[in-house]
Amino acid sequence: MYAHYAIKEIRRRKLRTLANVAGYGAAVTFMIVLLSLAQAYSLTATGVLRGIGTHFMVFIPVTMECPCEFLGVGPYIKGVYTETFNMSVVDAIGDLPGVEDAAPYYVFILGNLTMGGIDVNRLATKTTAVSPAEVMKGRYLEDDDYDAVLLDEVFASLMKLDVDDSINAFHRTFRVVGIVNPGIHSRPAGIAHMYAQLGVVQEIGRSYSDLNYLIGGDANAVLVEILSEGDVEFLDTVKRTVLKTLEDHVEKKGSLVGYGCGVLARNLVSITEENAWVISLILVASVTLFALKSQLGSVVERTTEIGILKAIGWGDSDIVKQILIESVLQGFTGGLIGCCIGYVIAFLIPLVSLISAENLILTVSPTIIIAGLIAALIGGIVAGMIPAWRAAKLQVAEALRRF
Amino acid sequence: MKTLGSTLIETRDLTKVYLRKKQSQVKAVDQVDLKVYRGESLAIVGRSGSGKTTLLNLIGALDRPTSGTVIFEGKDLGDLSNRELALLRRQEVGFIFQTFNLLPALTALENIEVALAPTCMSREKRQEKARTLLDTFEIMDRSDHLPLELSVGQRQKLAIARALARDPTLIIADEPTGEMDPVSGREIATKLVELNRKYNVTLLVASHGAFSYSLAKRVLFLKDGRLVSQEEAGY
Repeated sequence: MYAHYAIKEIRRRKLRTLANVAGYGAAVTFMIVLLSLAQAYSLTATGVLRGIGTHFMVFIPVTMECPCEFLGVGPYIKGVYTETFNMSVVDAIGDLPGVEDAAPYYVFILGNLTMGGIDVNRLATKTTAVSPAEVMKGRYLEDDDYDAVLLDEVFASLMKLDVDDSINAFHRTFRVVGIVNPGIHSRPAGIAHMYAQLGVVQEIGRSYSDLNYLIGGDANAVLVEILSEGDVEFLDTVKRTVLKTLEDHVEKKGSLVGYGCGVLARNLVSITEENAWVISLILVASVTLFALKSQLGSVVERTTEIGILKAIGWGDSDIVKQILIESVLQGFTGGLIGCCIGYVIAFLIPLVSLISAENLILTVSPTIIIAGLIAALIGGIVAGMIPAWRAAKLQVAEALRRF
Repeated sequence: MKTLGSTLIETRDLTKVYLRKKQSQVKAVDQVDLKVYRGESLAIVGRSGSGKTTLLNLIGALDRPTSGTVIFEGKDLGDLSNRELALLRRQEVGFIFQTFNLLPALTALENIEVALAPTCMSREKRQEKARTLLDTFEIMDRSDHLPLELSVGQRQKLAIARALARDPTLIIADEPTGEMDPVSGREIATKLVELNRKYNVTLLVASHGAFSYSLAKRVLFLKDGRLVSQEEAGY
């Protein structure tokens, strides 16, 4: 009966109801579009920022000089002779919580020539060493390219080498299949003059190790890509865990090369989302205040009717229930309409190219829809509470006299 | 079956003062001592502003007195909380107003049903009861009509039907025929008398017309909030 009566009252006061429902609807629409845009922006931004801050490289520096009779030959990183290790530690790092991917990397130096051994199928390789997107000419390495290399653009230019040319290096002949400019991505790993399949560099490394009676491993660095979720603290924790895992495995102190920009990037991403939430909630709160005022007006208008209800035996709690149901129904209806309109608008924005950002994936997550509905419902409850209380406290005879 | 003779309501020194602006007081009801017996029909007669409505409101637990007491079935209404007063109104009293006081958004059927809403009755039972009452007052064919779509007589019949929805002990009618033409008024008065006779419902009617004599067994005269005289009328 309460709900039935509430619906009838809502329908009777069309303009007031329309204003309230429209207010809730507009607020929830705005909330959904704004939050969806913020999330989409965050995702897009994270995608870009991932190339800066969510990847890094860990390795074990040993000494400045190679412990062999040939100086300047061996697994060097950043001018330092490094420890090599087997693949098991790479897999162990890959399984750590927060790590999206871990890839082996083998940097080998011979004289003034640096070769990076990469696993071409790994995400961490693409974000930390070299990716197909950075191929300036030719193509990226493929699985069976055992005699092929990618040349750094500057090195290729200096050596006057082009795609399909051959190059003699590390006592082998390689075919140039692509010219790359790793640019910003390669910075943690350092720019190599050429990139080859990991297996190729492993063979080169082992032959030199055998020659020097050293134990050759599978790689001398681990490239790590971590999950884009989480805050700065999460980023820091994962980094420390990865380094410790490598150090425990090799039993030597390790080193990590990454970007401090990751912290800034994550802060930026979270600020954008937080602001969207704050703006949305302020909007819903404003609409709630408007609805509260409207509901108070409605109670004043209905003073006599409330008096009648009390005269025929309705208690204070029945009156509160009645007014609250009316308010919540309006909030819920507005919220529902807002969700539908918000969803449609969020769907239409990419179609009409209102947003120029490339690769912007605008999806309305169920969380946002539920949040919109809950906000409207809470708004309805809050907007109904004070008027309901005031209605319940009306003196019956006084209310009836106001006819 | 309730027996005529035992006291249903007693007022002692009942006074209601309204404050108008600063320091201005109006005594709407002034030291009224009154007894209403079960099953009787009592008319309160007086001019406009004599305090009839205020007295009815105090007796029907719609208002609280400034001083004095109202004893309803042995309970002092002054001792009851708002919740208990609502319960008393729900269970014991049926109100009929001069201006009908029907809820404009609800149909005739729903206007009766709404009086039964705060009870444990199922929807089916509520509707069944409402239909029976509409049938009793010969307005069943108007069950889906809104109050504004009914004639004045039909509205008052509906108001009486609503007042009877909970089988009250007491019916309080404030100028029940005041808004009606003489023919409709007589029809409503007949209905009320019938209720009193048939169901032994105590009837307390406020009126300023001679019509009260044909309706009530006892007539009380109120002037400036004071009970000035009473006489047996007899219908």
